[in-house]
Amino acid sequence: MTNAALHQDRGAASSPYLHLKGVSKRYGKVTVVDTVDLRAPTSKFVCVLGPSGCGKTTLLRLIAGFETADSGRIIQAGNDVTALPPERRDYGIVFQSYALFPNRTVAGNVSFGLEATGVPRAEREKRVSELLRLVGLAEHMGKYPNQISGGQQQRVALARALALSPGLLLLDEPLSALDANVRSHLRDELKALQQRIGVTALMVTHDREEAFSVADQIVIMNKGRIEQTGSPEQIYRTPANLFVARLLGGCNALRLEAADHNHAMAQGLQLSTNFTPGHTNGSAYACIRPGAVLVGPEAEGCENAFAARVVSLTFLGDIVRLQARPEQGAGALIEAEVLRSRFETMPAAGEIVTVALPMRHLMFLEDTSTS
Amino acid sequence: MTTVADAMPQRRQIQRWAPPMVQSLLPLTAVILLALATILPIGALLMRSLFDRHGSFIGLANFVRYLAEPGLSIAAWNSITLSGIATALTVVIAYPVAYAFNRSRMPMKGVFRTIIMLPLLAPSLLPALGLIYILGTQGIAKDLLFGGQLYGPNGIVIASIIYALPHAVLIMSSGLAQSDARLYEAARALRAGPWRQFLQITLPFSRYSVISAASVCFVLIFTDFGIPTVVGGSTNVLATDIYKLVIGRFDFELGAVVGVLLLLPAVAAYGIDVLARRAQRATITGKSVPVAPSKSPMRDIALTAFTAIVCFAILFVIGMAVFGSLVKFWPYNLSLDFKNYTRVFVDSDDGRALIASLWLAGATVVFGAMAVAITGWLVARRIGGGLPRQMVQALAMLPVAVPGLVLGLGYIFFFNAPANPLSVFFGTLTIMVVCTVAHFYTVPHLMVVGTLLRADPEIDLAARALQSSPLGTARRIHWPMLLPTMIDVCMYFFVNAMTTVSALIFLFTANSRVGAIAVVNLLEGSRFGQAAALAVLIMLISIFATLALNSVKFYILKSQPWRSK
Amino acid sequence: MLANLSRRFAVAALLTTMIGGSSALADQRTLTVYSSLDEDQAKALADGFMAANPDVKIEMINGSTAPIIARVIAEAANPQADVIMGNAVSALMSADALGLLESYRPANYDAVSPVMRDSRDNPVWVGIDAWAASVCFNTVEGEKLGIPAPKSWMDLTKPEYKGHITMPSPLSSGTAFLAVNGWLTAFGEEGGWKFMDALHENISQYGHSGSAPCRQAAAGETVIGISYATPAVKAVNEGAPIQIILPEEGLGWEIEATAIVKGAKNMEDAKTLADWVSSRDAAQISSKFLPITAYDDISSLPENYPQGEKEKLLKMDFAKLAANRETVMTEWGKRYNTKVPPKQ
Repeated sequence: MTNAALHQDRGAASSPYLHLKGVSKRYGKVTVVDTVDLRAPTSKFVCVLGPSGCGKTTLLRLIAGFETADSGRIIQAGNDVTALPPERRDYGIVFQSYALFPNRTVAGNVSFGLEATGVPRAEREKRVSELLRLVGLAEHMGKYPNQISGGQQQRVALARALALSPGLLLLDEPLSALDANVRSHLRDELKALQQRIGVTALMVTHDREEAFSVADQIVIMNKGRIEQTGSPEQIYRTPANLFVARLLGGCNALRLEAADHNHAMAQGLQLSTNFTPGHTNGSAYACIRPGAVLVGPEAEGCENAFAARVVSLTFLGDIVRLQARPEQGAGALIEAEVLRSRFETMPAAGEIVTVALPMRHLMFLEDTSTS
Repeated sequence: MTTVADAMPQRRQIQRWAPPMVQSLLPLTAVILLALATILPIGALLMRSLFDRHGSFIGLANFVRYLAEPGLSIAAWNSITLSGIATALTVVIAYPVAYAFNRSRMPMKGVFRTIIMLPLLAPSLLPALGLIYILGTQGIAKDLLFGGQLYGPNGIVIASIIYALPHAVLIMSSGLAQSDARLYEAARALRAGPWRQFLQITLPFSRYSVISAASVCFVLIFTDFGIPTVVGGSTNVLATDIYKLVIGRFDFELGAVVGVLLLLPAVAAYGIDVLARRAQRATITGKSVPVAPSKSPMRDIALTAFTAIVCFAILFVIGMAVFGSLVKFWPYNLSLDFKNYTRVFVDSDDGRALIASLWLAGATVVFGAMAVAITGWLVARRIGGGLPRQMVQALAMLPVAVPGLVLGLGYIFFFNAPANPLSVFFGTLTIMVVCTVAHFYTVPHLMVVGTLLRADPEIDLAARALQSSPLGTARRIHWPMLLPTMIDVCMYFFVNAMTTVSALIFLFTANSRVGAIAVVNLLEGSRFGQAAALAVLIMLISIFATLALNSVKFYILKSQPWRSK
Repeated sequence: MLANLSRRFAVAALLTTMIGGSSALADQRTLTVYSSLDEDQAKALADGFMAANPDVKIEMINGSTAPIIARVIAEAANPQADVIMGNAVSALMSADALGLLESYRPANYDAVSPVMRDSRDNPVWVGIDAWAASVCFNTVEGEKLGIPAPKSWMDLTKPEYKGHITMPSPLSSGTAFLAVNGWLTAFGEEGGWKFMDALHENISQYGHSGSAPCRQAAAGETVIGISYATPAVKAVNEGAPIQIILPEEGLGWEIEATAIVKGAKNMEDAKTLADWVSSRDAAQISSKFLPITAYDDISSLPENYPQGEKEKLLKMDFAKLAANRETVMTEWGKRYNTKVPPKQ
């Protein structure tokens, strides 16, 4: 029996392994988590992505049982765990700070939960060496946390979280304290490991790259509410609103002033569109990712092309970030990210270039945060 | 190939989890016990000052009566001025010493430090006694007073300085140790000379520790009772007044009034100390780089000379007390013998008092250490509800602001009330142990809190997620972290229990008289030699215990390799 | 092995409790005794009693006269002491006036000298000894400073003694109280206070213990200590350059007596002690410390004890003194209290 299959048994195939129904948490008058509904399918990797202070960590602590929800229900594997203390729930957790027990060796950390639950010594030792092999730390098992690197410490934390074979793995910004190199490496390992053992994982992060690279499903949170849920591709391609679009990457947003069939007016720019925007009340925007903006020769002849004056240039290696202000219009600033290799000579600041906003990349999004 | 799944237990049974007792009952028990030992007795004292002998409320009439007592209000003035002078001098002497320890390349720092800390290990009466042999009427160096009298303000001020000096040096050392080398580098880059660096960086940055040291010393001196008893002569101070009123006249109501008068400045000084420490913390950021003293022979010679003089003075005073305990008949027969010591062991109640001291100190260590380990743990690791926890913390912080005499008097009012079922303990060693633990509670409690706070709070969450009960986590994670600190806690409780007088002077009875109080009694009878011998024995026991506990600590640290990189 | 430390901690705690508990369960009965006698004398008497009654153990608190009585008054609701073994009769009478003493006629009541027992129908006290004020003079320091030995009380008011005299405070010390009463008897009410006003100018320190001034004189910390003879004799025997002076105007004196505290928790043993303290055996022990005991025929002069003390005792009206105790102490406090350091 594969591990994935084992986890499959825990919840019926149709219902999610973890299901939050209208969960809210308030501290005094501040609602930190606001009627959140969330479904984590069995054996999937779910990422809760949001800016700091959006309530994602509180959400994780509610699932872990470190906090108690004021309203709503948390269903795990078909059981209502809303009121259960952490000790009675079934999950492993990895913290941003690793939270390793400094007085225990690597092996001692991993075996901690096994000791607490009374697993016999022989079984314990077998399991500890299994797990340490799994995370590639078998040769470090006798060392103390302060004798190994940060990446190794986080691997120990992961092995420790998995020691009790939990149905759910909770990860609280597990990689943010690490160097960039270690981080991307560990990220891939984490994903591979999760897939291999088939545990349902829920990770909280503010790093979109991290979310994109590991998640099967991304949940975008803002101000205690869920803004959007979907696969990384889905969310990136069709963000639900301007907040989501911006969270997932830079985004030019031109306030929509008027729109009719196939045409729109955004901050003084006449735009051709391939569909009719819904409405043009003050919070609707025409949006385009900087990477989709065309500049120079390839912009010429494209629809929605404007002459624009280059305001600034930033070299980012292969890519150049360019800010330009269209000559016409109401001073909208358009940011473009273009491949350096597309230019023989880069335009200089103050020069006039052609900038195009291709129709198929235009999105019409609402800024829900101001309403 | 073995898969992880094979190694996994197939089904986890529901695990045992925290017995609710630990999270609800334990904090509550701690609150009740701490309240019994601290705030209720103090409350009883405050109440008593407003009632007359027959228990009817009379408002401030007792305070009016106190003011009308001949000579008593002079004591308040004496207390304030003498404590103020002694505090100022203590701080002035302690600052260069603390500076030498932390900011110079003075040689033999360990030796000097040990000598400076020596008075902590003896009852406050020992330096006072030593002074009698040096500056008393028959003192070997009485000319140093230029014809002045030791007994009175001179004696109180000088002995108080020796008594308070180690405290001041300790506090200011911690202030001077927390420094930021980057500031000095910046100052040097701006071409500031050493003197300017001192005036514009060192002094401002250590000012809070100076304030803190001053307030702590003021309270110590203001509320000390041993020193004015021995060398106060005819100078009345509040600390001796309260004793005289309570033990001499059993006028509890006026005693309570003086208790309140002693409590107020102590609370005020404590408030200043708290503010100063808070401000001190704010000046140091997490990124501070400790200062390594630069090379400066002139500075080092001057500081070493000064520290050596201070150390010599301390050694001289204590040495003279030791000498006095060995002299056959001061000052007329200076041949040495052990008669004063043999008297302690043969044919005297003082030997019994010394054994009672050991019992007191031992029990204080055991129960005090257990109590602070529990309350410190509750507070630092956030066990149980917020309210009981905050109450535990507040009650644990209370004793540091309460003079021992006031606490002891409160114990009489609270525990000797016939209506109190706990009055069966009155007059027993038990109540003295409780009082001593309470009196010295704050510092060890904070030591435990400090140590346990250093561990990431998420460790506890991780442990809970791993199905460990709070007690299990405490045993397997927190306790090993805490162990070396617990040795310091034991040392603190032991030495203080051996040497304290003020909290117990009202509580002892015939069969619970401890060594330090026996020293007071001997001195009241002007039995200097015997008193010196007993005080020296107490000091030797403290030294021995300190050495023994330090070696235990060394052994513990060696057995915890995870502490070192 | 370190993991075991916590367990050991618990074991140690348990042991402490057990041992602490078992010591309370010792077979010996304990008797709590308060005493204002000379400490060595009190100890000798306690030892004598315990030798005769091995099943009873005396726990003793020594203290000055007034504090011991104040303590008994304060503890009236919950008496801690069983017996007051040796306190000035005048002080005992003030406790008796508050109804705090148990009336008891000890077995040897009839045998002791009539002067040395409470002559009322329901006696509360029986005498142990009588002691008198005297002056300790340090001859070495006197010579150094060129101060002659005083012969009379009046001498002590001379300017040359200024700052060289210590005496106990009558607010706590029975010795001081009897000295004050002696002056009031010898010089009369008005003359007595006038004398004390003048003496006050010369006093460097009022102490608490009746014996301390003599020990201070013995150690050279003062030249003259107003005290009583017993500690002076001891200092002389230890080699101190002390001359014991019995001033010529006569000596204030008083009787030290035993009384049982009303509500004593160990009443039977308390009575046993009261019986024994008034016995001839006890008087033999006391006679090693001072010449006047409860038995006229038991009197020896301890080595170096001054001659002629008995002859210099003033004729005092004890009933009046007891009645005026509070008044005299209040008056004294009003006049001179600013110089009293604490003392039990």
